[in-house]
Amino acid sequence: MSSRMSFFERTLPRLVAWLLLAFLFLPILVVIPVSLTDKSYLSLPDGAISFQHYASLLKWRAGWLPSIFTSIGIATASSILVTIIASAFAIGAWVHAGRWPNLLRLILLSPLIVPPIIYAVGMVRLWSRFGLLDTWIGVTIVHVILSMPLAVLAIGASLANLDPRLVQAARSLGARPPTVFARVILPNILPGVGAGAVLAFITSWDEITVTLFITSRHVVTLPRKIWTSIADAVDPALAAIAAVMLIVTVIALLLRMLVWDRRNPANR
Amino acid sequence: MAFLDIRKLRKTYGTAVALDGIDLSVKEGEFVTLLGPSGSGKTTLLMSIAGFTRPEEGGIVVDGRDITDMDPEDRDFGLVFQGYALFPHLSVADNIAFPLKVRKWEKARITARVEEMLTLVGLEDYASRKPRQLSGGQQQRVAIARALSYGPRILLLDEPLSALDRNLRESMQRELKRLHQETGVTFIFVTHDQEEAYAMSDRIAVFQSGRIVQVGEPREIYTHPKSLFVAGFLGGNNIFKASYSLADETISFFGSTYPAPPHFDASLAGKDGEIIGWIRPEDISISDGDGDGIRFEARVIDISFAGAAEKLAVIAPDGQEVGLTLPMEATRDLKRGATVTCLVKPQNLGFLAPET
Repeated sequence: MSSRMSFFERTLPRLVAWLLLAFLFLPILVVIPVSLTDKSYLSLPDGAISFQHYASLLKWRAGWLPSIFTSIGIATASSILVTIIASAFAIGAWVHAGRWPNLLRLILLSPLIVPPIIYAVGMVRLWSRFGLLDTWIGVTIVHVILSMPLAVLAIGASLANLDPRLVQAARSLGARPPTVFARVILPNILPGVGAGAVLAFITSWDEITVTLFITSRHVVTLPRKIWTSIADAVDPALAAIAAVMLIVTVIALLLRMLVWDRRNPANR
Repeated sequence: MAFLDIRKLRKTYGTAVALDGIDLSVKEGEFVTLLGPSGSGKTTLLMSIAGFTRPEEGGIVVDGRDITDMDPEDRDFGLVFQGYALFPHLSVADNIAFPLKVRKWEKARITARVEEMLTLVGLEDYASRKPRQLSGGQQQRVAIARALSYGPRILLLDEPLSALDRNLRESMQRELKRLHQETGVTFIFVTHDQEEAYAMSDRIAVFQSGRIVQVGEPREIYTHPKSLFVAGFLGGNNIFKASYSLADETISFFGSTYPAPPHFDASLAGKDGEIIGWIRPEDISISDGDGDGIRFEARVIDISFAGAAEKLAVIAPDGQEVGLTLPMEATRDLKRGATVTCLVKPQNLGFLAPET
């Protein structure tokens, strides 16, 4: 009787939880064996393990390395721009709460609501008029717009816990607006700004739908390169790049856990 | 000439008039309280003095200099909020040092002043704590120390004690009074609590719908309210209708007629002799037969225990309700529904014109 109880109350929920985790994670892990295949098409290694696809990633002519640099460049540029604009907007809306900031927030958040494919069609027409199709600037601007909502939400959330009268207090103590920003507001919202920057970087790094429409041969971001390599030939280098990204992500997460949690024991 | 001179200040929000021609003069080193119900304009005036609200008309002059259009950061006025508004990322010492660092004081001088301020507010042992590790009263002390540290000319306090519990509030009142005396800084204090205003102020300015309706020392405001609003808002006075007869110089109220007291000003009465009377609850006693003065019969409708005293509500023969505050032993044998004889000294009766 009691063992049945403990099965339903303890073992079963645990089993389901682990199955769910496996369901989420195993399909990702499959890229690792595939990337080690000795064949020239996507397959599991049969007999021998080969690192040739990792080696091909490093060949400039193969196109993987240039597209990694392109993606890092665009993601960094759009992340910096987004962080600056979203911080300025969020702080402005926080100081001058009212109808207009709320309306503007809604407009800034609209990329979350509009399906990317609809947005992509609109951007193609607009960018062809401005001559921005297949340019670095064109892609960066689109990525800025697409990652703005997440950054505004992240920074806005960290401001929500802050008393807007801090600004008045600081000014009454003699601080001019730049000092108020640097010494009072920024230190208090730094985690939110950091999260906004990371989210913006990831959004740009991942973005494929709109990028596919507004680029062709000149600007090839990594997601675009992956997309074309799947469409053209099923190159196992694809699995190799996925494995590399996976390893980088895991290392970053481990570092964050080790460094951040050790510094803030209260967060545990 | 006054140290702080506020002239004909006017501020509107849409159709709502927040300040309707405010005139106020404050002497250097004075403790002035702006007292009034919420929405009466007292905080708007404080924020105008601080520089965060721009008045549409009128001006503010400090020490002979017009500061109406000056930025808040240039005014050198300390500001203390109800919600403390301490910088959460800075320690207590760094909060107090903030205005000094902004003013680019030397390091040694900052350290010395921070220590001095911590001693002044009794928080020497809390220098390295963060604001969230302090109690409400301690946080408010830090906020006051921070606002006073650089030596402001005026300290503006916006309901700084409202968030504290009653006991703490009274000890903070004494503390503020002491700080005022020790620093000699001009204090302008906003509150809706008349006891707080009485306890600390040199002078009180009573606000009603964007106007100052009376300015004076606490005792003067308490004993000589100039309007029905002041008489009713402060001290919970009994306000009642009465009528004056010019022919025989008598006043009728509570169902009886009495000779007009010597201090009565007949010019206050309306054209039909109508007049408003007021009497403080503690100035009415219960008579057991003898005693001189104005006496009237009334029926007890409620008795409630209020700690040091007993609060009695009675209804006079003409139907007007009157509140009494009596010592406990005076009400021992009273029950609801009983009839009592109330006794008032004529000099304790106050009168106001009916339209005010």
